[in-house]
Amino acid sequence: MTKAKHDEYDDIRQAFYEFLHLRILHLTGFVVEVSAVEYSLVEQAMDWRNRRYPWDWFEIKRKFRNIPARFELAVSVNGELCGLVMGKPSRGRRHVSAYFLEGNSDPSHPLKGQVLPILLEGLALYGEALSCSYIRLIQPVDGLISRYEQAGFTVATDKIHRIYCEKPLKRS
Amino acid sequence: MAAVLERTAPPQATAFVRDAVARMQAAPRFFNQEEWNALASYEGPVVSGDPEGRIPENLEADDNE
Repeated sequence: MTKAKHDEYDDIRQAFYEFLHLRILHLTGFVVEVSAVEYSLVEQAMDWRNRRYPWDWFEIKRKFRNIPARFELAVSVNGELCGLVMGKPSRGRRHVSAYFLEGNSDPSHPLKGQVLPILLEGLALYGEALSCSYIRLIQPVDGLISRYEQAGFTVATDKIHRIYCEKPLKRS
Repeated sequence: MAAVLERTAPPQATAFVRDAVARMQAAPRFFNQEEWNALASYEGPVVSGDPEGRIPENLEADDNE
């Protein structure tokens, strides 16, 4: 993959962060910081207490960084990280998948309750940018599956037996 | 919004980038209010992904199309 291709996707992600910032402000009234999953933010996530899964976000970032079209999103308020996601589009751009999504486990963080729809609204906006037709969440936590169904997602299993939730983008 | 467009997709941006930006500009909100509320009212852990943190070896080709 050429540097030019990496640069193009960097430009698209930079525009995406600006559009998502405005969209969240419009939808929720929250002024949030929207960015790539920077190392300083990863350090915050690794310090969260009572995490459901002890993921190594440094390793996750390292594994995804060579994929030019990767989806990476961190949402913060006044410097406090509230949630982050890492994923990528499928090769044919049918869908864009969130492989790892985690919200701040502190029950008093500034976007408590809002962070999940905000992160997924972001995934959908990036999917639109890349002309994908669906967003997909790989291996959603059990307790959330019924909520995803309420929100219009369908649940299925992929070729390697992973459960996923999927929802079409609006123009599909 | 026009300022965002000018900043993020200036004339020297490639057509690929400008088209992606135009699609974002035109994109409707993804969740309606009822769907948004269904997700926002969840009080458990907000997490999705492999519990062990495993990442597919051939990540770029992992797409299940």
